[in-house]
Amino acid sequence: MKKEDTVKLISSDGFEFVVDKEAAMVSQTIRNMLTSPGSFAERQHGEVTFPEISTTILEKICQYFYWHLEFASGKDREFPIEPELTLELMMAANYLHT
Amino acid sequence: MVENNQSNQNTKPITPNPTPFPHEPFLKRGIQEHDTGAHYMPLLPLQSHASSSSSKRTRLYNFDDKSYHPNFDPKGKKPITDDNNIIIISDTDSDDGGDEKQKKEITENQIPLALDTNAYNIDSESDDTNDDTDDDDDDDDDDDYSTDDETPRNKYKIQINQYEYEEWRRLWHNRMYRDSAKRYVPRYNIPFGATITYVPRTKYENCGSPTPFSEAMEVIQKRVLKCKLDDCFDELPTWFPKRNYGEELVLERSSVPSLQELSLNILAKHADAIVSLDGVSDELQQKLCKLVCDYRKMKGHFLELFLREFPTEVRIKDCSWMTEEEFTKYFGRLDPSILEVIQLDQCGRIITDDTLLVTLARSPNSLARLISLSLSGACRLTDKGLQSLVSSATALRSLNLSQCSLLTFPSLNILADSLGSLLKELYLDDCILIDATKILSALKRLKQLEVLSLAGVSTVSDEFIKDYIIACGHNIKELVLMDCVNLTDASMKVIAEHCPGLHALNLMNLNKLTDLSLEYLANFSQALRTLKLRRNPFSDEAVAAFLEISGKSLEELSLNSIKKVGLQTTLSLEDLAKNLHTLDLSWCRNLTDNELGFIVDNCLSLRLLKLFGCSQITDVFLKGHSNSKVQIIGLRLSPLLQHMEGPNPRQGVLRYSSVSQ
Repeated sequence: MKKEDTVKLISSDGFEFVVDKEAAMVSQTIRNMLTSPGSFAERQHGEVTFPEISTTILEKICQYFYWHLEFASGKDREFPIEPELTLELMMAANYLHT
Repeated sequence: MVENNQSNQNTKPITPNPTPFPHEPFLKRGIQEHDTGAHYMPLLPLQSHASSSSSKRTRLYNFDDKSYHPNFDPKGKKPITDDNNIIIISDTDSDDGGDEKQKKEITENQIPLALDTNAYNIDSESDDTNDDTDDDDDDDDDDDYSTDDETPRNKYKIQINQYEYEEWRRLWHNRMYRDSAKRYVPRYNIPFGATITYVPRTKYENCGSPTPFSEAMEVIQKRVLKCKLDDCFDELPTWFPKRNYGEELVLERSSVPSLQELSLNILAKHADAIVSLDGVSDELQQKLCKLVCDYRKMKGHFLELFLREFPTEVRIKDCSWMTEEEFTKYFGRLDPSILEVIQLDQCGRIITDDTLLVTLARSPNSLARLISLSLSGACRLTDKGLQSLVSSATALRSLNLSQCSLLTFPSLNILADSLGSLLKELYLDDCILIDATKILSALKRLKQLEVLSLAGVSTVSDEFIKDYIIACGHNIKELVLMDCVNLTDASMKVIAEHCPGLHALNLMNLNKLTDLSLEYLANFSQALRTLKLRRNPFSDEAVAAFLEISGKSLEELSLNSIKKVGLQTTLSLEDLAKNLHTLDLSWCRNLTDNELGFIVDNCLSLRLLKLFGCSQITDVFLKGHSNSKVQIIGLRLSPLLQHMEGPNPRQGVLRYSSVSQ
């Protein structure tokens, strides 16, 4: 993966997730950050920090991004979510507009 | 007309085969697949039907309203034609001054055809015994059926043009098509005692000024005739599905389920395991609450968690699980003065006069901030309980008392006394003890009322509507009159003329309405956004004409069980319904894959299409249409609750105004 196509998502614990830009753009919030005409620091460095989102949740979110892309191109799998994660996942998803 | 014909040497009435009319009643059958030939456009009001008793034959039509069809003059005062050659079927008795003119214009070309049906005996119809009668005999047959001057005839004229006449004659006399002809005659709506004469071009005269609806109807009628003339059944070119078979639609981004939805669903299914809702935003809490109700997981546990977060809106769609003790426990503890919206539907078990006093209506101002209250299903609530509620909720703007079956008409006085200048929305569905005539004065005192629902209140009558709407119609934006079966076209006329701001109208199950209603609504209410029809006896052409005029503004349309909807409606829909997002065509069995394909591919705003009961639709349409945003429900199994409307967070609490007004 070339560096220009990827973006780094950092959780509250400091874990870094490197994902494709296209996948990260599934989140409307991240899309706005990366494409807005202003100069967000995120855009310049290609990294976004989420101090409120924990690692497990952020990992799940990244999995969702890829699942979303697959679903949109036709593959109709189910996205598994562990019930314990759902509450925080819901709030994070709400924040990320995804 | 028979007498006039006999006095005119050139004319000789030709009577058809003496077994003309079938046993089956005229209008009880719809269009069948094997029908051939023309789709004649009957130009008469739809109230025509044959009946077996001769006394009913005379007065079959409602002539009071000339504005229905400007070409139609039952008194026969003016010659009525259009620019094509037409045939006028008129009655002998209706020959007043008009017929003088007609007689002058009758030329040698006239081929009159007298259809004297009064003399026919339906019971004597037999299929095969009259084979010997053919064209030559028809002239003689007429002598046998002498016209009886004293028999009252119907006073009207039917127009058909030359082509239809030829077609009709051909069918009539052609033995092979005798059965078809018999079927076409009822569709033709030739009533008993009518005579048909052919009159070449005469001057067109309009009875009344052309209204938008009548002009649209003419356009549609020409469309029907043109389609018939070209001998094509389907004016629509065949719709070809744009997708290859088996290829799935590339879904839009918005139709992929979002992570939020997915996690909400799972969370709702496991509602029992939630420990706390702390930190969840209000909007999410509301959505969660709705989903928990839908999944039937709403129990005290979740409710307690929910109420612990001091929500300002409590919406529980189904309170049937709650007992009185639970209700008094949970709602007794919370402070109701912060609540702005309360929805406790199906609350028959919990809402009584006493429980209210302990929980919601505990003090004269305990619901001081309440804007919207819904207690549908509160079947134990009496007028007294309502009084205590209303005295606590002094700022109430929207009140839903559907299915509160113990309420009587004094409750309206209670409402008008304290909320007369505030109440904007009132729902009284199925409050069967409320007599509409007695609540009229109280309703008129609700000066700000925008939404009124009287669904199921069968005492609503034309006089009530007339009285109320003329007084208060200028404010009304939404009117629900479903199941008020005593209403007729007269009410629709009043509504159309006096409700300029009408956005939404629900006329489901009103089976006394005719195409006249659509005409009134089209001519006056051109800003209608939501129209809900079900089982109304409207014709395809009238619906199409209505859509031609009002289709641009429509956002939600229900044509559920309007049996005759078919080709014409499709043509109007695909041209005009650009704003339409919800369409219900359930039980419209005259629609085929072809027509639905055109609708769905051309109405690009369409998001929801309901097709319950349309088993004639096949995968050719379902897998072939190319509209990726529309959801089609009713044909394959799909979860239904997700299609029901929830509160829109972007819309305010009230449907048509903001709260501050």
